[in-house]
Amino acid sequence: MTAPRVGILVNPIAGVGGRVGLAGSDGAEIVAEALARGAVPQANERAVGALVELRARCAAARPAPGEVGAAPVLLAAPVLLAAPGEMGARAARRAGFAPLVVGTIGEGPTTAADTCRLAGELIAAGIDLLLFAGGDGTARDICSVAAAAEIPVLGIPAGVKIHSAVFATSPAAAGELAATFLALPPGRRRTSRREVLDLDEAAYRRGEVAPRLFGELAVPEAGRWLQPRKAPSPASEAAAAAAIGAEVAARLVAGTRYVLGPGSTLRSVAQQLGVAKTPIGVDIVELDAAGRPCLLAGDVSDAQLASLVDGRPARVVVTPIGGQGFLFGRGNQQIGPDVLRAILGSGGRDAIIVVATPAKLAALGGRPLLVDTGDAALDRELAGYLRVITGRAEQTPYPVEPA
Amino acid sequence: MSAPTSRGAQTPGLPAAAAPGLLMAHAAPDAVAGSPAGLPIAPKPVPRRFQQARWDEPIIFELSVPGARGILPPATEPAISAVVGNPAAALPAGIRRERPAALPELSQVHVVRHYDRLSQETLGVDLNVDVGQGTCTMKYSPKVNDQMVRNPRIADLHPLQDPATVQGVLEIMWRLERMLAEISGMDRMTLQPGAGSAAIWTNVSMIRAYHAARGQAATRDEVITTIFSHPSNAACAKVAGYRVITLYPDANGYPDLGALRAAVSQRTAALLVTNPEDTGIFNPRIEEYVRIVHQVGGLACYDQANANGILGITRAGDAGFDLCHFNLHKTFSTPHACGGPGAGACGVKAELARFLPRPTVERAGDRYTLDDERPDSVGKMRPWYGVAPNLVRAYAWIMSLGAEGLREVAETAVLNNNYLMAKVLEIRGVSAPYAAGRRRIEQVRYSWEQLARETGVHTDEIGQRVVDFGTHYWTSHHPFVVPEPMTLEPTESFSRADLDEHAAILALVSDEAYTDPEHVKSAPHASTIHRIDHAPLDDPAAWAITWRAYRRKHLGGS
Repeated sequence: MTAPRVGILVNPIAGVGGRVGLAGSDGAEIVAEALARGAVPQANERAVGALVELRARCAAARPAPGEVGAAPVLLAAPVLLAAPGEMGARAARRAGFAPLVVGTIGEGPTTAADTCRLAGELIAAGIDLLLFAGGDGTARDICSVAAAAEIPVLGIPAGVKIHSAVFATSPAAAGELAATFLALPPGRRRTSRREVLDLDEAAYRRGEVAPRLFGELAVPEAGRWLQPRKAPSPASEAAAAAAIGAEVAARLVAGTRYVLGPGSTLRSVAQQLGVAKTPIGVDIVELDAAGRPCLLAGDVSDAQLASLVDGRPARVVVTPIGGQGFLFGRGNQQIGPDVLRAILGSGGRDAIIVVATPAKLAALGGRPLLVDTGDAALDRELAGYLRVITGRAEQTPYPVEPA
Repeated sequence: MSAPTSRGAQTPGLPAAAAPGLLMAHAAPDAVAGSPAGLPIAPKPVPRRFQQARWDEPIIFELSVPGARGILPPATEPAISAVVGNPAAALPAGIRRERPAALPELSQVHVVRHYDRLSQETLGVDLNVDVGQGTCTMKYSPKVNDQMVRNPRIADLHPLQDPATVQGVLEIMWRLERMLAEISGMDRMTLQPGAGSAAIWTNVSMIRAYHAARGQAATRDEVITTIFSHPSNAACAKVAGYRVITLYPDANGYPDLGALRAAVSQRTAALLVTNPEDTGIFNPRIEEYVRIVHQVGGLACYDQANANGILGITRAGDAGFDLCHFNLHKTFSTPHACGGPGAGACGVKAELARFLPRPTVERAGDRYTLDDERPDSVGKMRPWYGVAPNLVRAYAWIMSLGAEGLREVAETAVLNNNYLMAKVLEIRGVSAPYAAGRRRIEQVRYSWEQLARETGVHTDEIGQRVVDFGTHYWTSHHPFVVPEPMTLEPTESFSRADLDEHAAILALVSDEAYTDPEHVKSAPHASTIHRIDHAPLDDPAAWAITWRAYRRKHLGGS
């Protein structure tokens, strides 16, 4: 098999704000302030960690002796395409690669514009996977370029804010996952769509945590070769999400408006309903005169939503967003406290329909679902157990707590 | 066979019989003798050097040679042909084949060779230290019980015989039912189901019939189970049309009691729960769970798939359960038979007895009869009366041990498990999530999370490496609530040396993961098995459970 091509892009100043208490590194002034406070950039170190792991996995991988029908192993070291200098090439060389350098950068501190431009140039040069080191802000920049191109992307966590679900748990885990993914022939590589969230750092510094959902990236799935199979096969995430969609479809009743939050699980739900959901927006669905689900309004704002559910039966369908189990307040702020109160008033706690695949619940590791609606009293009211739909005719009462 | 110690004490009133190979926890470990140098045979290393056969054997259909035959029966004599004519012509058209069945055609030696080769490519309780198939209760099944089943007085029975001519096997069934009722604290049993899941299905069917008889079939439409219970509970409930509510564990590993309280309502038909669950953690407050379900009018049903550590110690009936079931192929030593036929036994309290599958075995004086006149019965779960040979095996096994012997089985299984847990928890990178510092019952769901984080080696890869030493382990049902799981269940059948060997293999593979992870990741190196991609098994267009389907989907055949 021909050598896979991997792009590496480092946001060199990602994370500098964190250790000196600046809650992020967005914008040139903050970076300058952080460096003045003595921050030492870590992103390149993190990128090297991931690349060393990737290289080790490729160098060591070999077919098992006498292997029959073996799982593929990465025999060819990947060709590394790197953004110039401190935005990739330097880390690549330190990890032992001889990268092909793509694009140019000017003098002085790098910017978000550099990230976006170089991501575009790496993709245009032809890559199987884009690795980037940074945080939510970097993920957002990459997303603006890579989402449309449908290029698999994996984040090496190096930023202050890691709300997005596109990051590996550590640099080494990123390298390992990249190697596992690339070892498969292109037709068998699997990705899942994961959310990119970012919060407004200016608001965050004022004490407001309000990350918004900016889009989704195709992230490699950590597929494993052989799960010893005693039970019937675990349904794939896609099949599990489709089963959830079928359950929601079976529950729709005429005269009620359904507010669909963002997230890939909700998109599967919309697919089962036969409506075209907006990618990252909050949409409203209801049954038409013929009993078919139809999209009443797409990508609504908080205010539009409030008027559309005002005074009529309404339900909200949401899934935990990002990697931390947030039901409300991360990526779906359009569903504000007033809307939630109106919906609770129309149908009680059952009016909040939470959906999540069993794997998503298991990944919480026993942690509760979190709510941060911006209204502390409402958060307390939502605390307790909510029935999470996990499949067709399957539910789990799961604890919810204020964030 | 070696000569293991048997410590099965006998109960007065039950016959004593040898139970070879049952209880070996305290047998002396087989120390590797320090042989003097120069001996022709060197001492065996630990772990053992192992190399399994890898025959690269085709599917038997691919071995077919047109015209080949295993047996050539003598030709029909002309005089007979003249009288009978073409016997196939006498068959009704609807059951007559137009073309012969597409069976493989082979000579005898090729059939024997094929299956002997496949048998060299397996592992199992008669071949290896089989403590890795956690939740399956892999115990040694004494061969003497197979001898009883092969006896023509059992093997040659036909289910259509008049009950008057099969009094012996009916008595065995009746007595086995009474013994299992005593063991579980239930009033009546059925032995009809052919497996554990079939027994769960039987229980769900009786739950449905119970509520239907009270006019609540439509309103009680929810069944509650737990994520660490056997998934067949959820599956059977769903097949019966119930919504399934699954409880996740609390911080201690018990089913979340708050979630149960939030889940119960007038819609609750039943709680289906295992105890201990697949974590090996026994829930000491189980009566409270039962009470909460009873308060809303639901039934409590105990999945006793994990009963091996509680025989003679706790009983489902005493904890208030209304129904329960045993997997006879787990706890009661009948063969697992590679997915069947096994045997399941369901127990119910008296008020549910009228819903039991029919026929039931009844005793009238010293005669045994089959009662098929049971109008409220859920019907038949299996043709005839169940898997009679397995019922005979289970009966023989229980009778060889007696009541005290059964308790000793449980105590030995628990002792073995906690001994192995102490050894395994000394290994770098492994933990036993939940209930820290507390003992487990008969199995443990371990986690390699730390090792995976530190080395990048995952539990499935460790599992593929341990087969290089002639053993294996199973991870967990899905989803992996315990990350990087490994489930070990050393039953009473393994000696301390066996457990030491298994722990030593795990320790060695852990060391390898930290020093040479790629060697683990590229395993197996000495086994039959190789790595397979599971994606086709989840893909309706690709999966094939018959040769015909494989040909149709992949070879362009019809």
